[in-house]
Amino acid sequence: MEEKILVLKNVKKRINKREIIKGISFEIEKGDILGFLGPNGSGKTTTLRMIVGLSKPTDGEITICGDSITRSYVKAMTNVGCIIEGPDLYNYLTGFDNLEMLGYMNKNVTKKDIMDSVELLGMKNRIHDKVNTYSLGMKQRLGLAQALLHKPKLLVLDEPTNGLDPLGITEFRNIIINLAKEKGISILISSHLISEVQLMCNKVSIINNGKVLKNISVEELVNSGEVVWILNDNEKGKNFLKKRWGIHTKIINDKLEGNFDDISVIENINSSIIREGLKIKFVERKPKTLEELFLKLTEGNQII
Amino acid sequence: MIKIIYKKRLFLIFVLILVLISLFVYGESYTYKNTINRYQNNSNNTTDYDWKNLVQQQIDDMRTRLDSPYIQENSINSVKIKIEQLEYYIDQDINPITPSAARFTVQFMEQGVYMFLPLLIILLAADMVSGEFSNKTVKLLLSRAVPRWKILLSKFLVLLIMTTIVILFTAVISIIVSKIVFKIWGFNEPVVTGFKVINGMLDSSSVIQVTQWQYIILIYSLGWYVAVIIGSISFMISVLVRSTATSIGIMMAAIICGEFMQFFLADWNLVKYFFVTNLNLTKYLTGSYQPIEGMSLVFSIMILFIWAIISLIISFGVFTKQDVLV
Ligand SMILES: Nc1ncnc2c1ncn2[C@@H]1O[C@H](COP(=O)(O)OP(=O)(O)OP(=O)(O)O)[C@@H](O)[C@H]1O
Ligand SMILES: [Mg+2]
Repeated sequence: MEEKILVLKNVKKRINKREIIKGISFEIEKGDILGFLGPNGSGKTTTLRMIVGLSKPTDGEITICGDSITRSYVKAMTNVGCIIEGPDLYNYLTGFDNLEMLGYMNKNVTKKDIMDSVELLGMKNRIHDKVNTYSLGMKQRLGLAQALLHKPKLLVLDEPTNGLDPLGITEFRNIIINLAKEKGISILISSHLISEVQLMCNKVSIINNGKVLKNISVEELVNSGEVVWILNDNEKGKNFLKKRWGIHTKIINDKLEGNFDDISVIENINSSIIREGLKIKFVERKPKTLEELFLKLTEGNQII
Repeated sequence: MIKIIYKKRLFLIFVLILVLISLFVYGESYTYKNTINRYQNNSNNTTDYDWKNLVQQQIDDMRTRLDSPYIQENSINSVKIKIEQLEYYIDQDINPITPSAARFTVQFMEQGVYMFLPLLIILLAADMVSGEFSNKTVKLLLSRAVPRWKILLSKFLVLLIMTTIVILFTAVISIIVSKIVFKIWGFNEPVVTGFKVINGMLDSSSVIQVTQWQYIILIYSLGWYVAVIIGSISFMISVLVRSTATSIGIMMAAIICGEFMQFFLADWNLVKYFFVTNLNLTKYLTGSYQPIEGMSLVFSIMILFIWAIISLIISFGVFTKQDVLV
């Protein structure tokens, strides 16, 4: 059985009598990179704040490595590192002083741990400069170093690539993927950039208006898709697919379109169509991208 | 768990203290010279002066004031005590006029304790918590495996340390600067305190004599106490409003309002429970001070203590519960 690093169970948050988070549940296992995807104002940051202990859920349960954040706060928090809404550090201190000071707050953070995380993020040359001389990319790295100081099992990042240039984003992505692969750190990344999530994550959780619309693994996502046929008799084909496979299809112009959760059955379907005496003029698979899924799920939802 | 952060603010406060003390020292030596000049003009004695005559002259001045029909009811007692004190000085052969480093150091805190010192402490304390909110670094602190009360406690300890430094610094600077200007240490001179007015009669039975340096320690301890109380209250405001500018504003307004209330609403009994009214602890030592009926040194110390305790309870209560949305 895989180790559950983070579990959210029906978490709700109410601010000023308005329910902002309306019951969110998901899980992260060891080594997972979960993309937390949602349009602006959907409640991503609010949810992440609750996970890292900055605010308290009004209802529901959050457990980190088996420790509830409400009941055993300190124990739960030893396993979390985070950057919430931008890497804000003490500007008048050097990068190193920042890390050293924050390191004091955790037990067992040695100078070597600090240097390790500095090295890991390739900031050795600038670490003794003041933070207000850093570029955003540098600050972002320092933020990450700060989050990794105490060797957490879970890393929570809120829109970490905001404001980075394409090169910076790529570097950042590689760092993240490495952390998950080599150190087995589970990572929760919120984002509204779909392409970014698709490249980094192995799981996606799509939320809007404070509700989870879909929890899906990227693998499943790749395997699901839309298939388009052009048969000699689309009407007959439609009935056949319904009867034989239980698949709902739509006739659009001269095409027959259907959705599949697992696209690998398509070979068998095609054979059966031919056996039925129909002729396939054309068949095409349209891989469903995360983007389409995202837009389809969130469409019509107003941003509040 | 104590986190001391280098702050420009502390430096700023040091400079402020230095400037203010230098100004005061200058003013003090100026008035001193004036007094002597006046005396010398009056007595046509141009070469030397005798402090006893000078003091006697002051006593006579005050007597005349007491006889005047325009004297305010509530200042009669303090003038009487002042006279008594001066006579006591002549009796005991203690020179109360020539400024010395010790005397100046005492006076500076006596003057500063209800206005200048609180303002300095407000500058320091208002930033302690709200500063972390305005540069958004609270989230770094609060998302660590440390319970929130510990974080706030270490902040408070830092405030205590800084307060202590400010008080010590004030003492050291005023001793040094005034020594340079007045050239007299005067630490072993006696100070007379403890006069009391009982039923309009002056009671000198409880008069005690201490040396200047003992008196300095006493005065500066009271100053430290006031500073800690003001610090705790500003600390609470800082936790509540989360904005440095606003908390400085609120505290300054409170101090200034308090001073006004003390003068204009002295009849209103509730005013004596306001912390600002109770700040002038050192003035009680002169014996004649009672800004509002029923106030005494012990009363003020208790009121201030209660204010501080309540402030700390509120600070910790709010800080450990509140959602951090920065
Ligand atoms: N302090 C607050 N008081 C009231 N409403 C709030 C507060 N903070 C956030 N909200 C509301 O909660 C909702 C979710 O906000 P949140 O910041 O979690 O969104 P987000 O998904 O992080 O958006 P973005 O992509 O823009 O960062 C928004 O509708 C916002 O208006
Ligand atoms: Mg956000």
